[in-house]
Amino acid sequence: MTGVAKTPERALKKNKAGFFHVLGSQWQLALMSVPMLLYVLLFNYGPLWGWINAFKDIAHARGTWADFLKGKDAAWYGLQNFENLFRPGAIMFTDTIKNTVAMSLINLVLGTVSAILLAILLNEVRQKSFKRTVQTVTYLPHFLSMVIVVGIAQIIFDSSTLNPGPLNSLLLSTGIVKQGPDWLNTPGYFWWLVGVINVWKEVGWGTIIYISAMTGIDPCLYEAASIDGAGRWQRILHVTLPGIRSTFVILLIMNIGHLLDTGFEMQYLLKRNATEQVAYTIDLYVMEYGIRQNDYGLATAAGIFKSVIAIFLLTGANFISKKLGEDSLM
Amino acid sequence: MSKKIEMAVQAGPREDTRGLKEIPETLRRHARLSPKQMRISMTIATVVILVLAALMIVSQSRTTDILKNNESAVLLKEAMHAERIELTNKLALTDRYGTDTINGKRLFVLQEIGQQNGDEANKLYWLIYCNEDEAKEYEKTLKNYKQLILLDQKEEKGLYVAVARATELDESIAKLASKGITAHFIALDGLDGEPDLTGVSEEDQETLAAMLNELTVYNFGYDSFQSVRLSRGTQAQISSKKDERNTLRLYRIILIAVLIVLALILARQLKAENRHEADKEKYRRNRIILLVIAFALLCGIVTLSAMINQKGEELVVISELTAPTDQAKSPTEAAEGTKLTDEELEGKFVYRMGKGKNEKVYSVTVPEPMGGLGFWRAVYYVALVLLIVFCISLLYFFRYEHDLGFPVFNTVLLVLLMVITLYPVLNTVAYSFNDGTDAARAGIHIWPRVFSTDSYKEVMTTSLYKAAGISAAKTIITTFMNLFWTGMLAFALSRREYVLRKFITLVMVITMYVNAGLIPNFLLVSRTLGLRDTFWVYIIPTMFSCFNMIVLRTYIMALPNELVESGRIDGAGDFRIYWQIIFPLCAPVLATVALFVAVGAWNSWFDTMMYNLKTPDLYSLQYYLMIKVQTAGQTSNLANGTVDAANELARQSVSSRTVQCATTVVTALPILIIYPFLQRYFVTGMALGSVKG
Repeated sequence: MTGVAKTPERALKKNKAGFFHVLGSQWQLALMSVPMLLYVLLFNYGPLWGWINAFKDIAHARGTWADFLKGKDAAWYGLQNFENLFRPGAIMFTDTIKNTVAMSLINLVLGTVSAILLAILLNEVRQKSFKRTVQTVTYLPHFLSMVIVVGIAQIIFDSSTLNPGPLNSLLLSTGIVKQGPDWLNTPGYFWWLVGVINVWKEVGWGTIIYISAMTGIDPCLYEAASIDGAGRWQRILHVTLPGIRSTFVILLIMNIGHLLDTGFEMQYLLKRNATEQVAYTIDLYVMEYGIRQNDYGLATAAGIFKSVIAIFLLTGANFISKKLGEDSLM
Repeated sequence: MSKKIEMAVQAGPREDTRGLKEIPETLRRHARLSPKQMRISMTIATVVILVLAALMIVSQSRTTDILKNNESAVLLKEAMHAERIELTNKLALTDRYGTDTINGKRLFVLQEIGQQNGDEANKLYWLIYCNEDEAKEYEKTLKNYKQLILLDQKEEKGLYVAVARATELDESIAKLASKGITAHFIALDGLDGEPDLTGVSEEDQETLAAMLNELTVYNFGYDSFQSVRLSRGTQAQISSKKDERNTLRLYRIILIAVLIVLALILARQLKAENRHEADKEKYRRNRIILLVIAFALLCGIVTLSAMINQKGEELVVISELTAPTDQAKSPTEAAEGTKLTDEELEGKFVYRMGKGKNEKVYSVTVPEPMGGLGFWRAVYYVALVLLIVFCISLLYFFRYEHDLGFPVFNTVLLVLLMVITLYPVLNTVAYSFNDGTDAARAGIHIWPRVFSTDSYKEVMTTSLYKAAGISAAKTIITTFMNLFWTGMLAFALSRREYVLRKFITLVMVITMYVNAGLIPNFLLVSRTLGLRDTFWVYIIPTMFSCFNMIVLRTYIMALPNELVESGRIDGAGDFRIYWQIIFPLCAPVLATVALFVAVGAWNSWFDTMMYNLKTPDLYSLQYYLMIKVQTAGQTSNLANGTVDAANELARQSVSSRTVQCATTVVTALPILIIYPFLQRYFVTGMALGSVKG
């Protein structure tokens, strides 16, 4: 019988020699992939070394490899940086956590609900041309940069008395309010403003995935429902919505995993002096303290805090989704 | 979330598209669009769009070029209550000052003049006669209003304006005296009589007197129209033009008439459709819907009519008379020869409105919102409420599939959504094409009121072109690099026989979940690699994306293996197989990847802010826009410390808002132009797409 396994030693030896031999024969593939492997190692894993900065007393330009090799290492700080995060200051770290979570949740809820609603409405449209028009128009804001969107938003929400922006003009001229509310400068409105602008920008794009999920629903279900006497509203409620349930759950869990990642672009562009306390997110905090004030240790500590919690959230989300029987993310 | 969407978009075709042939007969009849429903929906959509457009145009106010050529106008400003004043195009220091040039005369508009009525603590305006160094010294003594505006300068000494409380001023004078400086202070409203020039040296007195002579002081109280002095001796004439309001009214009435006609047409069509309805039950329901829609439209029309009756603005042209006299006029005297009486002018505000040929038009009223209209206001509110109630009642008719209720509601909502999406963009474009000073007034919606391309001329500077070039280069290079490396790596990792496959895949996947954070990346790029202040900092860190690579790999793995094998049989190496076989096949996915990468690179501004802050030559276009937008209103930042900045800003003749909008439009323009052509890529993906987990 051929094919009998060779003795273990010879098999091993063959494999070991085989590895480099095979790699050699696949040199083209290696050439295609190894440069980028090195790139990823450098740019994605390299900075992880920077996490060690969080444990050092770094206020200025130390902490790089160059300095390390030259021996100009900074003093060891232990967990002091982490403690400093929670000390009172101009911008409290705990406040930034609160802001970040609040804005993420608002974005998540508003974004998901609006995307699903719009997807349902679009799904019920019978004319392809109208549907396509609406989709074209609503996809547009996704492609505009955040700078442009916030610039537009600042004009719309402008609340000066003599020259109100269009929103306040509308409110004033229809008599809904006597005096235009100061949208941009009131801390109470800031989170909702961020939510609304986010919805304006992303609702069209967000419907893509829900609509594609809805096209996957078996049409026979609709027919069965209408035979049983369900009206349109009931059909939406009992056929369409359950049909996109798995998509919805996956996206929800993924977004929860990214809860702290709400970013800083919009907050940075939209914040004013009056709304600073509620506008600062973790990333903005890191930017402010790390890059503006060169307190690298503190900023890295904040970043580690965020990354660690994000890992927990992601693993947790993944675990929950496995439990629920949906596809896992990993 | 957008990652998932991108994945869905790039995924392959589904097996079971919703083909009509599989749907049973009954459902097919329901699913297919009946011509009647199509007509009705399209009509409704058109009507709604027209109504909304009409509303917008109607509420956009109009100005007319009402100055004749031989009239000139002067800038009047109201004192008090800074919030009411908007001189956005002429701000020099804090938002309390403004400058302008009229008929060659430099004019400085100051607020809160003359609050000397008993309240010593109020802020006052002071003229200071000193040279530049002394001015700087004085600035240092000021706490709140840190700068002086230069009004006039003869030889070394200049006449500055500053704001200070009387008590503050005493302190400052004391501080200056301790430094040996004796600047001469004159209260601004002390110009009514002969200014007190004691303490000024002989030769300077003449200069100072001459400068004061040419000075223009406007002084408007909040509650009364006080003295108007153009210069020592020029009179001002006030005339009013009420024509504009009538034109507006006529315009609005015409629009309402058009709407009524449209509503009648729609009602007639619906009724005609309904007449052929065989099903009695449905006939009855449709009649109810008809009534509801008609009533809703009626309410809308009533609402519009009520809005017409608000009191609009009066235009007052204030012109400079050509024959100067030697006497300053009192308000009553100044108003002589005009049609407005003192009582009419009382309580009104003046602000700049528009530009005639060589003149400027000013309006002297406050636009009144709906308040205070009594009967019409009540009508308006009732109609509005009824409108909302009836629209909601349409929800009742959702239950019936083939009735008109839901399509109407759906269409209206979606059209509203499109309007909400497009309106801000159109508004920005409208502002950008508007004249700067006219834009300072409210009321521009989707069409510019006073067309001018001044803002664009202002915006098209070399630094803009440079920034655009940098952005374009960044986008193109990043996209190519990305496509190049992603494609190759995806192919390499799709080969199951590749020994390093598992290892590299694992490395890549982990990076998608673990992010080192902002600071370590920053340190790596700027310090260790020294990429700061270079162009390559835009390219190198963003050259590759693991996520795109994994998507592409999935796609390649779905391609039949026979292709590669046949290539191998023919003796091609991996490179050749990739470039000649796989790469062309991946074109759709690669196009989508290229799209996302390009949009991301074009829209990025944060990298400039982090790394290239000190090299303006390397600013990306978005960052350039950001600077323009964020600091346009904060001219005090720019004018820090230099007195000349006031003059510089006085020369600008476009408002900050229009410049912002123009820059925004210019920045967004490439995307807006290319957008229709990009439709293919993600629409196709969407039509084919399904969720890949």
